[in-house]
Amino acid sequence: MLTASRASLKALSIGIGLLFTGAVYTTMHYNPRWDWTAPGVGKLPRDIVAEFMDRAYAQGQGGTAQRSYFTKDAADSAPAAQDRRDGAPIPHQVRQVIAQGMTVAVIHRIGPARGEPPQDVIDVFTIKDGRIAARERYPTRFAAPGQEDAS
Amino acid sequence: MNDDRIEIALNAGTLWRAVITLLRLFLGAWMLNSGYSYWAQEFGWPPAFPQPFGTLPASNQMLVTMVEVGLFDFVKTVEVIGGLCLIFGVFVPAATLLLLPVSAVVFYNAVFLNLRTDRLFSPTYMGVSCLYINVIVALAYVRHYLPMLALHSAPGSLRDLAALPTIFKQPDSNQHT
Repeated sequence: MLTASRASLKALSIGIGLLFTGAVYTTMHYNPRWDWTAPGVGKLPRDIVAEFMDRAYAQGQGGTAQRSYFTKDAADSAPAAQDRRDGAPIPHQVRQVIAQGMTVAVIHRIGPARGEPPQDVIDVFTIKDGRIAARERYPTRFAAPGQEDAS
Repeated sequence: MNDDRIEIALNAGTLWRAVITLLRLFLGAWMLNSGYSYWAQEFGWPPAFPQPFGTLPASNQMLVTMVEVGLFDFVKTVEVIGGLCLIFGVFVPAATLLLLPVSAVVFYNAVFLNLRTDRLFSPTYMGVSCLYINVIVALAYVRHYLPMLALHSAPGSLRDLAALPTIFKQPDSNQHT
């Protein structure tokens, strides 16, 4: 039979609890499965794509952005796209963003820039571990204002 | 003997309490880290781990949607509050019950959405273990839940709230820690 004070047992249990908390934090934080260098780690897929597009279009830093935001083995159906190169800012107008799970579809009009004509595209991004793992580009043509089919 | 001092018999009952206490503390530590990590990223602090968004599409969809609609703010707050209660040994029966739906959704996400049936009995996989631990701890405190499981009951009045201060006064003579 042992005797102990309630206060000391309480303090002991809190101490063990805090020890467990620290152990869980350390074990999880330094788990090699996290890529803390990924710019979108822990962020929502739509936010990752928005950040990439801001860098690539508004700031014209597509080359830098694709190196950090795309995975090394990313599949891109538009590897020659201007948004993968550094240069002058590219004007673009986002019509709609549709996100479901790790897939983000951006329907946008890319303005004329860097000697290329304007184009309407649907970019479908797949996010994995805080980076863009794939981008499928579907060229399209938006209806001119006033010409949308109202039927 | 001083009121503060208690005798601890070296028997199965003590072992059971020690195991339950360790499970309670570990569950609290896990929940606190999980909840903290979510809020840490919101505030730019270093999280324990980045918010996972699942492996398979259905899991991706559920977790991303829960974050987008703001439900995760509620879930992660519950985890932090419940975790702190378990670690500091306050409101333990209520906190255990509060965390049970969270653990159940974590289990559902792991087994039914991410199809991790291969790790269904893996004690190191918290996707399933947090529910197991939560249920075991809840069972250990079942005597606190029995009154609300009464088959027959009648409503009281708001005057019953006057008894609320007693929750801070009542010593739990069946607990050592």
